[in-house]
Amino acid sequence: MTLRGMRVLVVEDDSLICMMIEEFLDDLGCKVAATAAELQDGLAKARTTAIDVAVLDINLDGQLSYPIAVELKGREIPFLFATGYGQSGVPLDFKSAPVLSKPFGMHDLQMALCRATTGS
Amino acid sequence: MADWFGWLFSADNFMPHGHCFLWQPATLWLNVGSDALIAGSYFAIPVTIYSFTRKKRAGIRYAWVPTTFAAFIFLCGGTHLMEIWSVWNPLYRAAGALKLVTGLVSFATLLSLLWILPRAMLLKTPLQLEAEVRERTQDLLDINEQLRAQIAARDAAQQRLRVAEQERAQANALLQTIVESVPVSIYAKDREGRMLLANPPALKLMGRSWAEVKGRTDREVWEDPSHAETVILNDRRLMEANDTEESEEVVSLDGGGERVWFSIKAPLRDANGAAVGLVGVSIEITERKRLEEGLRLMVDELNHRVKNSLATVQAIAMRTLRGVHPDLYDAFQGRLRALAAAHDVLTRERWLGADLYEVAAGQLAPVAGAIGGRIKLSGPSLRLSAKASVALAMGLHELAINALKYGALSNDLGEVLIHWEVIHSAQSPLLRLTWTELHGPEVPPQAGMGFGTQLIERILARDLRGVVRLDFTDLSGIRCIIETALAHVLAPAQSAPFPRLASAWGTAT
Repeated sequence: MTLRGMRVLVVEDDSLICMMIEEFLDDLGCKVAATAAELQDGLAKARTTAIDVAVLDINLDGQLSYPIAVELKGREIPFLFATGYGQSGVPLDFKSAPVLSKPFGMHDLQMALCRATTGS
Repeated sequence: MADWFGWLFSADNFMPHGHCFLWQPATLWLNVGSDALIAGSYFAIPVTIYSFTRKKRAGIRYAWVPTTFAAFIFLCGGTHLMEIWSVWNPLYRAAGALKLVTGLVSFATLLSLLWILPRAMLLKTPLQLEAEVRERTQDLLDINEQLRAQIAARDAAQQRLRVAEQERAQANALLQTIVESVPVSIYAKDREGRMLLANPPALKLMGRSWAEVKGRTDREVWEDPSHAETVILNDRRLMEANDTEESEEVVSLDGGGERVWFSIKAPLRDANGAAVGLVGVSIEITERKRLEEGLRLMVDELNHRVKNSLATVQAIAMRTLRGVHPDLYDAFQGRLRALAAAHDVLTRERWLGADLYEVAAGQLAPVAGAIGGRIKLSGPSLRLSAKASVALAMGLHELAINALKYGALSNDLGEVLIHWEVIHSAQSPLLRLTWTELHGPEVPPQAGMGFGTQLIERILARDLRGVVRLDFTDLSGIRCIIETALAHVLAPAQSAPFPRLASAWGTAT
């Protein structure tokens, strides 16, 4: 399946990593609809921005990004986690969301986005 | 009969005896006086004997002998009285009869003397008796001495007993003081679970006084019946196993949170080694557990930060290299992710070691998709040390990348077989891991040169302290054999964690 034209929200507190993800998305033909580095901003953008999928870092400078995941789940927007904690750090509520273990490559991101948007 | 008495007591024509003295007063009174003195004395003697025998009757053998003597002397006295009487009255027949009686009694006395003499000879003389008494006295003195020695020995033994008793009391008091003042719960129960001992911290834990728990079972001590049953079953199991057991016991608090105790329980054994009860010691480790938990969170956080740092390094490399040297960037990113994957496996195992299969799968799955398809792993379960895991992961990554570029994974047919085994040689056991590529394209001669080969040959050999043979020349595919002493790469044996008994004390509400 193609990810071309997909609108993506990126929530990541490390700007270097955020830029890398943006570059990956760009290469994959996706459109970065919005980026956020902290929880409140991320929540606001998750509520208001028109997006197809979201990439969420879990630890946002000490705050957990789960409220954003809840919000997205409410809007039925698929998302994936990108984290240094690995699979074990994710609560059971979001078990179905793919987890990308940092560091990851473009190919890993592509696979995770496909899994998130198609559920396979 | 009357005639006979008449005859006996008649004087007839006899002359009084005075006539024989021609009634000369001097002759007559000399005889009469002498007879009177004899008679008086003879009458006094039996009285004296009688009074003597009366007083000493108990100590005299043959008491009838003095009686016959008394009778014989008394009768002798009677004949002399009769002599006096017959000076004036010639009753010679009566006098004769009296003498006859006296004679008979005298004869009987003689007989009795003859009979008694040999027996009397046997009676001990005072000297003999004295010697005997002396001897007996000596015996008594000896016995007395022995008794005195025995008493002294007994006194000494009693003294020793008193000292021992005192020492025992002191030791007991010391034990008592220790049991009561240590900040550790100590308690003991008999086989039926009745409380034999509980020191103040143990009582505080139970929320009871000693009077309330003494001799009581857990059913009576704990308010929560299910908790009591848990404790009883646990104790019974321990006594049946007759073995010491360590555990962590968790009590949930009313206001939330929990307190944790580390407990050691051991059976109380009788002289034959059979369990007759149990003794338990519990020390609160809530604070220690809290610190451990803090440490665990810190380690988790550190692992997370390390992964984030790797991601940041990746992002920097991307900005630096990607546009200029895409190949370099790809190689760098691959190696960084290999390191991160090894890190992931080790983090899951708390850096105590990692399973060889997981290390290999962690490297190969991202490269070639599912294991079991074109990549086959086989070998026994082995736990590698952290250092060996990272080294092997990096080596396998290089081999996989090489296979992807030039080897068996660069076409649609090739396969990679990774097999490891333990070889028991004469010295220490060896681990041999073989990487075999099948059905790959012909390997160009320049393949595998450069950093990848160096990393495989030198770093692997060095970090695993083994021998690595890389063969690019085999036409059927690349082959790599790694051999090292098993002891160099195995994770150190770790102690098993304590079994954690949920609410073994609990007053959970």
